Amino acid sequence: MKKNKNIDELFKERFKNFEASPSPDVWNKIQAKLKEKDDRKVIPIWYKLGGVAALFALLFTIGYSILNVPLNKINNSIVNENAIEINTEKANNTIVDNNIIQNDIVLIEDNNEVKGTKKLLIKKATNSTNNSNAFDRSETTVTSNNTEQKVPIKQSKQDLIQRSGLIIKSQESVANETSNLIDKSENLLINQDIEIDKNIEVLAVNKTIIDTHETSLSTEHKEFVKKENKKSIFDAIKETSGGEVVIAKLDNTPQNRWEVTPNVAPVYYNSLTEGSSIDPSFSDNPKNGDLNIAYGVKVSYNLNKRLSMRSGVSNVNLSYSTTGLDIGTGPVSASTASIEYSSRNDVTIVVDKGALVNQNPEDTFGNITPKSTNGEPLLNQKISYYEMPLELNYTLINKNFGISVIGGFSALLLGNNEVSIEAGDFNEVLGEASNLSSLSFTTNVGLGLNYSFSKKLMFNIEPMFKYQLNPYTDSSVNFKPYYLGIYSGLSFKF
Amino acid sequence: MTLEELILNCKNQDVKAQEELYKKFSSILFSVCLKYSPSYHEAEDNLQDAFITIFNRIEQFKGKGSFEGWMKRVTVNTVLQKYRKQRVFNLSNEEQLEEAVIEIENNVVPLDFLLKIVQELPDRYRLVFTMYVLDDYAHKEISEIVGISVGTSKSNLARARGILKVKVEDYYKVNKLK
Repeated sequence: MKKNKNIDELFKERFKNFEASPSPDVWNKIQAKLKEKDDRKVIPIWYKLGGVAALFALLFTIGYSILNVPLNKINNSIVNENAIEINTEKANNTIVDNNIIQNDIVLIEDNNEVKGTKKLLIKKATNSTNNSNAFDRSETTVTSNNTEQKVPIKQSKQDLIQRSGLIIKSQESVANETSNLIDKSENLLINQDIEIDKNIEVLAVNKTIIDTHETSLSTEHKEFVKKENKKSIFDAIKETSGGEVVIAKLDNTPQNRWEVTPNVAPVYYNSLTEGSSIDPSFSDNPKNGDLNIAYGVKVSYNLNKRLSMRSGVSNVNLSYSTTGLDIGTGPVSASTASIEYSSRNDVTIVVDKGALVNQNPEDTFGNITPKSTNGEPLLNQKISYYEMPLELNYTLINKNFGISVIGGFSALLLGNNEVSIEAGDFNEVLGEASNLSSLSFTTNVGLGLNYSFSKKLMFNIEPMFKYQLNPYTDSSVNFKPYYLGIYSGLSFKF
Repeated sequence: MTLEELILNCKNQDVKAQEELYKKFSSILFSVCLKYSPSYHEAEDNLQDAFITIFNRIEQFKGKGSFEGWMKRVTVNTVLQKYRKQRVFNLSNEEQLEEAVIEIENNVVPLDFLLKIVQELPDRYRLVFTMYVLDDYAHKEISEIVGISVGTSKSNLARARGILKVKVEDYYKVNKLK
């Protein structure tokens, strides 16, 4: 044991005051890196802001679409050409005439009181009729001819909701002799001869509401007529024979909101600038973008008839090659810094053409032994990314053949990457590029062309241009890559 | 400038202060890097990474304990991160290990040689040996930092000693023969 200590002690003692000075180069490199970091700090702030903005836009869009759903559902309600029969205590044909006036709208929504096909949905979201045979579709205001009367309606409203499921919301309501009921939205289906079970209740409520007016509500086969601006629906209603129930659907509610699209694309990768991501000395060398394959699945959700939002995941393989090079073997220390060699010993080193011939034995190239090849050396960089896009698709033409524009962002997660050299029959993987960002982003724009085979199936082709925002951790790399892809796929709607 | 002022200025990203700090401590930290790295070249790379980490995280130094100690820890961590994942495949029974017994002849072995043979050790042997013998870490600390068990740490240390012993003995032999 005592002797065992010796080896430890030998080292301990000799290393006690061990200090060594690094080469002055180290400080220069540190300074350069620190400076680079300062430069780079600017970008993440914009990413963050951009991210926040995108998030807000997304939430807003989703929120808007969700809030819109009930209105769309309303649009599917049943409308009848003929009148609604409402018995009233007093059995007048006069309903509220100009008297039923409240400050708030009337919203009578009765889902529970539907009898068979005779459904009555009297709905006034924010609109109301203000005179006979007409209804106003304006969203929020209906002017009444009547004097506004403040009526304590809240209480009765509650009662109504609780008792019968009838919601009578009042903002402004007008009814007149012909007793029209008005639907707020584009579609209004009205049942003929509908009896409202609870019309007595309604009346009672109305009574309370309009306590100053002893009015009752009754209708007998009253006709509802639409305004001119609702021509199409009006026509639709007319076409139906009296008493028949018509279901009209709103056009702008997409039938199939979800769409899944497996797709595949040839992608072409290149740079907008001349630089090289591998070594600055290759900036002016000829470079060729290569064609590769991207494949994946997209899921899109139709926010409305024209706008859809989509995401998904795909695997993108990209590559490009650099020529005008010589190769040799030498120590890792003489090699390009942006390649992480897997070996620590002598490696294949790529230099600009001619650099080896003119090498000065003093400099680093002095260590490199040129390697003869039987072909022009080609330096390949292959990168594979996992792409997750978030894009909006706006439809311009929506027929069997459709056209849309697409814009958005993608997040790219770095998968495999390798730098390899190829010269004649010599082929060697040098290692990985060390300067690729593990997470980067692209901005995407594109055009969508599609052809619908049926309501459920659609073929589409999308030429997309994607520009990479931060492909390299080293911001000094003057290589601005983009890729072009022509994505084709089949969309299944449901 | 006192050390406190220097640290404060470094926290404010003052380039001159950073340079001064570097000048002041680079050789101490470089010696740390040399002991933990497999080569001079990699030691320089690691020193560079360590200083960048130090400058970026200098705000985390709250003045508790010695600044030099803090910088050394940052440096050791930086280097460890790089090498601890690399596995040592040469697994064998602890019992079979011979003891690293050696007759020493009054420090005739040059430091350069000792450094070289430490650097030549497989990554984990080197880390464990340097931490335990040169930097006085306990096996428990080593096991936590490197992410191995105490037993493995001990066994790695014994193996490192064994390798070093053979090399030192060879050195004696060669030099005596000459």
